[in-house]
Amino acid sequence: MSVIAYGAARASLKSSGALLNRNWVAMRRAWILIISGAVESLLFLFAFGFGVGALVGDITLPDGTTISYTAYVAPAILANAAMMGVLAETSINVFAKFKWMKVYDGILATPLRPWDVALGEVWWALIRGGTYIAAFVVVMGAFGLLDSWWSLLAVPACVFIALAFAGIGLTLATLFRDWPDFDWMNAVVFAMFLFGGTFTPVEAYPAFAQPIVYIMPLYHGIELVRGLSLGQLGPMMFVHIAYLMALCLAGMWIAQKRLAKALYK
Amino acid sequence: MTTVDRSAPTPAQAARRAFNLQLALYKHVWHGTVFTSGLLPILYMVSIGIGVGAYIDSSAVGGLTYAEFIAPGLVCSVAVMMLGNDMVFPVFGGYADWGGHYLAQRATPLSPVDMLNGHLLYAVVFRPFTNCAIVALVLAFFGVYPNGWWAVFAVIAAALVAAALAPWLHFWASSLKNDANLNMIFRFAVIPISLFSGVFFPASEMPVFLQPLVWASPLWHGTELARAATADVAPALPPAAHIAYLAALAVTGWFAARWRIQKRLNF
Amino acid sequence: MPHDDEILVRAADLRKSYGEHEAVRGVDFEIRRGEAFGFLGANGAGKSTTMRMIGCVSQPTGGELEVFGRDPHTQGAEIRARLGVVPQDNTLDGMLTVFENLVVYAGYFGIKKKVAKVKAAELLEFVQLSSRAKDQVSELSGGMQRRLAIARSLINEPELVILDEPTTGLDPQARHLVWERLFQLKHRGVSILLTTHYMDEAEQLCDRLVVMDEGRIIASGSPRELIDTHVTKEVVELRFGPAHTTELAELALTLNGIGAQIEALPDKILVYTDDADDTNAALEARKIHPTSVLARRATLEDVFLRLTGRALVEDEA
Repeated sequence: MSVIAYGAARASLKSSGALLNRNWVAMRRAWILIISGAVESLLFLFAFGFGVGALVGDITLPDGTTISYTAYVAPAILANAAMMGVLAETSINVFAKFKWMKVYDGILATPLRPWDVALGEVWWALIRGGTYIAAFVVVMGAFGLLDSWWSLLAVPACVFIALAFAGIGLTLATLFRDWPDFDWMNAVVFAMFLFGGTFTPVEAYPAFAQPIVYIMPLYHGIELVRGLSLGQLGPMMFVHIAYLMALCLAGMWIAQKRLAKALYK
Repeated sequence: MTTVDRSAPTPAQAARRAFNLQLALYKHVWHGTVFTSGLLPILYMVSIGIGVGAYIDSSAVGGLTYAEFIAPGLVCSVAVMMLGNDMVFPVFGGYADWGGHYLAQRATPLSPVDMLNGHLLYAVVFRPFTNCAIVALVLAFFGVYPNGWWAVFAVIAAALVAAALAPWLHFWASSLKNDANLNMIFRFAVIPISLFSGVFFPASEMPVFLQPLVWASPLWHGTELARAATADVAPALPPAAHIAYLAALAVTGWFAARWRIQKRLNF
Repeated sequence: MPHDDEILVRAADLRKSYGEHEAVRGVDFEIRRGEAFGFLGANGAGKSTTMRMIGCVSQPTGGELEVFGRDPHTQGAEIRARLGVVPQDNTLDGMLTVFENLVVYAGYFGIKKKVAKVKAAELLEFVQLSSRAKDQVSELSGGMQRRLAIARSLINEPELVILDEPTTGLDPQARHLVWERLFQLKHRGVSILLTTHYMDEAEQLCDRLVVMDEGRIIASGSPRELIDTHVTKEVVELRFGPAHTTELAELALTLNGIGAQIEALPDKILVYTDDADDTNAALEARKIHPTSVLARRATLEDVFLRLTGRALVEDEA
């Protein structure tokens, strides 16, 4: 009865769950598409971790420790995988649902509110990002790139990256006007991948470039995941987590504001 | 009296007309291609070629600096990445009932083969000889061509790679019914070809059982040819063999794509 | 303010502007439980904007609005939980099948999946789409999509169903099917609110309606009342071959004194009269011979024309 529906209107967690359910039902037929997304990051791991890694051999870090280049690069590509999975889901897919398919127009005629939509999309993005992360960690383990139990903490660390980029992606989805804007997003993302400390220590960069790197969200994600998977813990990790969480919350807040503005007209 | 030419066009005229459409579209999207064809290779060169290259001993890559090693491959892989733009979505969208250009051209004197030829002319000739040439030029500022002006042949190698791959991508994109599957072309063709064709590391680094896949990749053959041109490194096979393989792919691909587009547009 | 449970929607001096543009310029109306209420008006009259405000997806910029005795601004979610909405563009979920559209939508109202599946099957039966349950939405015709949107709007057993132009863009057969279903709903006692620019639709479906023009209500009442108040019983339509608009205006002058009023339209002349036979006789007497003469009962179309001096649906075939 409608009384039941009325009572449910207040439960935000439940409401965002309804959106999660929508995405699940919509995508379960296309699961192969989502799963195969994990392949992309693995290809980069094989090409740069193993292929180029064999050319480099060992690398000496600024603190003097020496490790194999493969072990150095792998956590960074894992961080990248967490970013890519979530960003594809929140930015491009949300944009399509928002501007093209008008899915949210229908949803906002129900008791769901913009916050519920934003939250539901973040849950879903975390699930997708999570599958990528899990697949990647399994492969890392199979190739002996996880050398301590600490390294399993890389998984929760990736969740912080996923959250940050879920917020960023949602905001971009509401800001972008048309598809060419995504070309530019991909350009920035790729630049972060190449220069966010993935392949070489940031300390080796020219001095003027270093502050730019410190702004990149991916850099903080890479440092966090790499520190954990190499068992090098430090207080800076809290800074990385705080920065990523701040991006997540700010992104979600801006996104639901802009969704409300565009749809409650 | 009519000012309209009512005679049927020759195949060359028709292909040029179809090509003109692609050119007109390019004028709208060229700025979006600045990244793939201009910026991306530079970023790769700085980050991987110079950054990672600092940790790589030149003996690992046949006595070249690492930047010299990857430069010719980068020129050719730009051709592959551009095909990812030109031969996937625009082909798929060409058949779409929301303004597909193939469907529109179908109502003109152009035949399906003309549309294919026009599109290929754009992707195989126009794009490599403009965009790959620019990339080759930009990379010259990094001083990565020990062989000097011979580097011009790297651009021709890139066009050969495009010729071998473009019709096959056209064939694939023409066979898809669902736009969600377009991503598969990137995941299982464009990206693996770009990463595992001896551009960033010699194919011999790959596990033995995967090497046949590398030999199949048109980018590997193109990179071997281009590296011979820029750095005077002896290619894996005689140059004529590499060229023959690429030409064979191009010809068979053209027949496959022709069969496909005729089938799609015959209704 | 005491709330009368029988009044579902109450608007007083309701306004909405977008920057400089005033879409709704102060409208007053009440919608009662159990009735079918219509907003009639041309495109851009402010109907859809009013509907969006009632649906709590658009915030009024002036005046008062109460839906179920609640404030749409602060209690939007509660109100939407009790509403069923059929937007003009359906907003069906293109990634889901017909059946999934209903079940997933039910989830937004917190309806349990088990219950939702039973209801979805019932509703598909009601809108005659059971055989298409597994199809993708894009495979449905326009009329089927609209029926699906109607089924979807009923999933939460709403107290009021809002339909924005329910048959715009449908072919005649599909329109009749939609009307027939809406009749059924009415019969079941569901309160209905609809906008339309089709006169026949308003006449058939609405117990009461308001006529909107340029953001204002210019008349209200039952369809019969509106016709009785604003126009004569009958209308005679005269066509004069390929005569141009200016020629028609001149011809209209020669008709002076025939009927109660003459209206020259771009393609024909309307003579409002209480007796069509008298009018025909008068034309004969003046030796005026139109290429065609059609006598008919006055409709809401004529009401609108009389009130605004404009045809409601221009270029309508």
